[in-house]
Amino acid sequence: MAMKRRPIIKSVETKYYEQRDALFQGLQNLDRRSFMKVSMAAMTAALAKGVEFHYHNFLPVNVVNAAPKPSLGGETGAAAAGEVRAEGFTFAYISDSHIYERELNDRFVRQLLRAVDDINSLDPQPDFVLYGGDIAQLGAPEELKLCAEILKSVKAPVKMMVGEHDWFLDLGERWMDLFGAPNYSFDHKGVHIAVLQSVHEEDFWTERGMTPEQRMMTVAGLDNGIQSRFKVGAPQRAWLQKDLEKYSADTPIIVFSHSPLYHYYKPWNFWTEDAPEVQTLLHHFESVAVIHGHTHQMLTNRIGNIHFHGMASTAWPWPYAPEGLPALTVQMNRADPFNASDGLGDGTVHVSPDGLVDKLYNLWNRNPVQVTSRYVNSNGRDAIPQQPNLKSY
Amino acid sequence: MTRERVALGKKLYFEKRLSKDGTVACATCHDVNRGFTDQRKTSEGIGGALGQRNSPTSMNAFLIETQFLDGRSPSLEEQAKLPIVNPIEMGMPDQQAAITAIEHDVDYKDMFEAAYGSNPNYEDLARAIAAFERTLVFLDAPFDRFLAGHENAISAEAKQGWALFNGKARCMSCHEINPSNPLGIDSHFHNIGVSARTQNFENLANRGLDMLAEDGGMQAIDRLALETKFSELGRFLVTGDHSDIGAFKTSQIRNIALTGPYMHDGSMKTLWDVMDHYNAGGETNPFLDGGIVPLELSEGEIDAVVAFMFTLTDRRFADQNQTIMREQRQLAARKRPFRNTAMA
Amino acid sequence: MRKTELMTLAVLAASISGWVGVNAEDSDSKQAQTARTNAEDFAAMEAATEQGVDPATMSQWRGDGEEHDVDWVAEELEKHKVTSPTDNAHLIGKGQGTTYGNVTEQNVKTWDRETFKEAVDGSRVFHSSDELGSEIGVSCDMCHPDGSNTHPETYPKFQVQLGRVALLRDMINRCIENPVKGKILKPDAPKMRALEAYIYAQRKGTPLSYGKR
Repeated sequence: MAMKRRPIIKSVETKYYEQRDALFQGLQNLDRRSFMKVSMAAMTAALAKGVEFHYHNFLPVNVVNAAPKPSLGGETGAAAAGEVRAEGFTFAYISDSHIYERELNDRFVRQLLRAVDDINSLDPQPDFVLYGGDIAQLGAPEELKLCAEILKSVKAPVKMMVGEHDWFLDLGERWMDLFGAPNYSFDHKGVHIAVLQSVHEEDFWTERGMTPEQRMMTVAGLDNGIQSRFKVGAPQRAWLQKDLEKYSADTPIIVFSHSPLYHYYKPWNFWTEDAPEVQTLLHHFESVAVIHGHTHQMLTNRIGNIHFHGMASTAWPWPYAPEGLPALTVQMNRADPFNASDGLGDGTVHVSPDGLVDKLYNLWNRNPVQVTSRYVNSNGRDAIPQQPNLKSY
Repeated sequence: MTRERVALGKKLYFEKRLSKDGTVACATCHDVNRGFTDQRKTSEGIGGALGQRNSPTSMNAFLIETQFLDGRSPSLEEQAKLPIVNPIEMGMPDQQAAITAIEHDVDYKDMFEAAYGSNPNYEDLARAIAAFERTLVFLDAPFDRFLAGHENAISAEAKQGWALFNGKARCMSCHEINPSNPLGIDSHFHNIGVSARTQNFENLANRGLDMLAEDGGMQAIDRLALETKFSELGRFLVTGDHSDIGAFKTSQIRNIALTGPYMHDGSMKTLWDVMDHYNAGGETNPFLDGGIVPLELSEGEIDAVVAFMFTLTDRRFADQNQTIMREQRQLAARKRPFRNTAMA
Repeated sequence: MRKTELMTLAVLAASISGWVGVNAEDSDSKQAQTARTNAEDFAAMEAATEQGVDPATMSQWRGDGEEHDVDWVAEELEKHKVTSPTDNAHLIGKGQGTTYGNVTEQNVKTWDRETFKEAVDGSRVFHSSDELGSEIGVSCDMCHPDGSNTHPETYPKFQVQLGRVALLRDMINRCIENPVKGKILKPDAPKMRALEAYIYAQRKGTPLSYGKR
């Protein structure tokens, strides 16, 4: 359905009708089910690029690459590609809610509830829901308890991950009581998934004689220079190495970590100190994706064969760091300070049987953005997601 | 805009023959005596057919960038064309039928000739109506006198309401009132969670898209918007933008006392109900605009903002304003269906 | 009354140089000594002086408003980086001879130190939900780490939601009122001035573009 290339001179009316047709063609693919399906062939930018972006006539159209519906051309994207594949699977994510107790701050709670509603209303339901870490703001027992209760209302099974805000009040005691091991792994439909605790820090508190609260407050400040840089740590790396030994190089691997497993911006701990060592453990696998939280922004990176995708937060958005931003990132424009839910949201990830990962950002009050494996694999040449037309930070 | 065009437009505005059964004119739902709307929950067209949406006022409409609650018409001219051929509004089978209904009238022949130098035709009909609507300027309210320096033009309570409007009540976020833009609008569309709890937006959106794919023309949207449940999708029907689901245009608050009941579906009878809705933070739904948050206004503060809103009525309607204020106050004293006591 | 005049000079000079004592300009040392030992007179002199001085400035002189430890600057800087003020060292020795307008090392040190202190104070308030009086535990740095994304160079600009052309301090107050849910500050409050100083400091070097959105 790509638009035919016409002779150069067109009447205004012709252009209008072409745009309108393109608009409504594109609209068909907006439904959720289409978001979920992935297909190599469908990723042909026909849809993404074929729908023009005319601010004054028709406002932004869909930003999603999706397989055309079977009723349209009579072939699904996958069939068109000449490949017969088993279905992949989808999981949803919610991340970085930074809950305080309800009496203190109900806004973050409401926003987490909104994300839970979003996920619960997905049809079909995702296979599981990843919680990306930093569910509590100050790691307090009451906060964690409230979070556990809220998560009970999520219909799909929840896979928990820990963030620094959950951890540093009591070094994870309460969190581990409620949610179990901070690092673990599991297999799902042929994909091996490892969940890390990537926010360990070198002890900075003992010599300063800090109380647990002071330690937590220090870590809670993104730009607080006293804390150490995050690390996975040698023991956990050893665990990961052993865990991965059992799997052949063609097993799709997904890693969940809270901090990005690469070096983005050190002063804000958008950084994991031993990331290069962790990447080394993953390099020999054919297909690896890392899904991380902590950065509260749309973020995409690729190092070697590893794809990195950041999750949006439900609490507050962060600006892009002054330096170190990976070039592949589809930058979201800066949040409107008068809109409390701008730049926030939740989303889903579709994993193909090959382990290729397409990430959908469901941003509140904004159009969804899908960052596909094809985009990342082509280093940003193909399947370019539709960018917001305002500058970022 | 010439005198002839305005005169023609005025005559057409009241012309019932433009409807299929000769009972409905523009003025039926945009009645001069009822705030240029009809003061009904949703409007009634030919044969008593009820639509899905509340009628916006034609007062000051010329200052609004797009017309209809979902902004599907880019101009007054385009807007005038649609209700005449909408099956449940004025019900003409097509544009030619409307012209046929009036073209033999000598008066119209003369007036069209004088105004546009042509025979009666649909394009000029719309332009004439728009020309008349451009004379509907109602911006002389007690509030304007107050802004001009007359301290006693409005009550102290209303002044407090104006302060809250700018501050804690956050009204100014969308209902902009400033010298460049005096109506209380912002040319944007927002999902503020009216009647949202009962909607299954995802479902509606998908099905709406299916329908639009079959026929996405302006008239199709017009019909979906007025006749069906898809009306609740609001701006989404026009743009297909995910972020526009359930979003409606910010309405002007000038002369707001006269243009009840309120909201796109006329579900709120009094301005107190409106305040209760906002105070509670609207009805939660996945597409709620982030600017809608619980306000924690006290009863007195709500009363103040309402008092302020009553000062926005043009002085020519002062009597009606008083009557309606009394009625709404009585109604609000009895029932406040949108009130969330925990918040106030 | 010469005594009053001399004491006024002395007190002012003392405040400025940070210590209380009689300075070299006092020619009538005996009288000055007598005045200095009279505590009541001294307090009265201070009061008389203060009446003429802007309260916000006075509070800055006193380091007023909160209890600062002696080391509060160092403490704050350990946690957060604050951009240093523009370097004025190249001005030392310039100006007219040794008279008014001449720049000495002490001048430069004073300017730098005081300016920087104000920005550091701003950093302190910026990063503390308690200082901001937040009822919901939110501080500015949550959305603006290191003061990023504050864009002070774009003010003044018309802000619809504020109903007027906003200055940086209006936006600060708006943020304090809404996302932070603290008590809004008077435009001239010490904390507001400090916050502005910090925000401008962190955006040092950005060209002015008033009205930019």
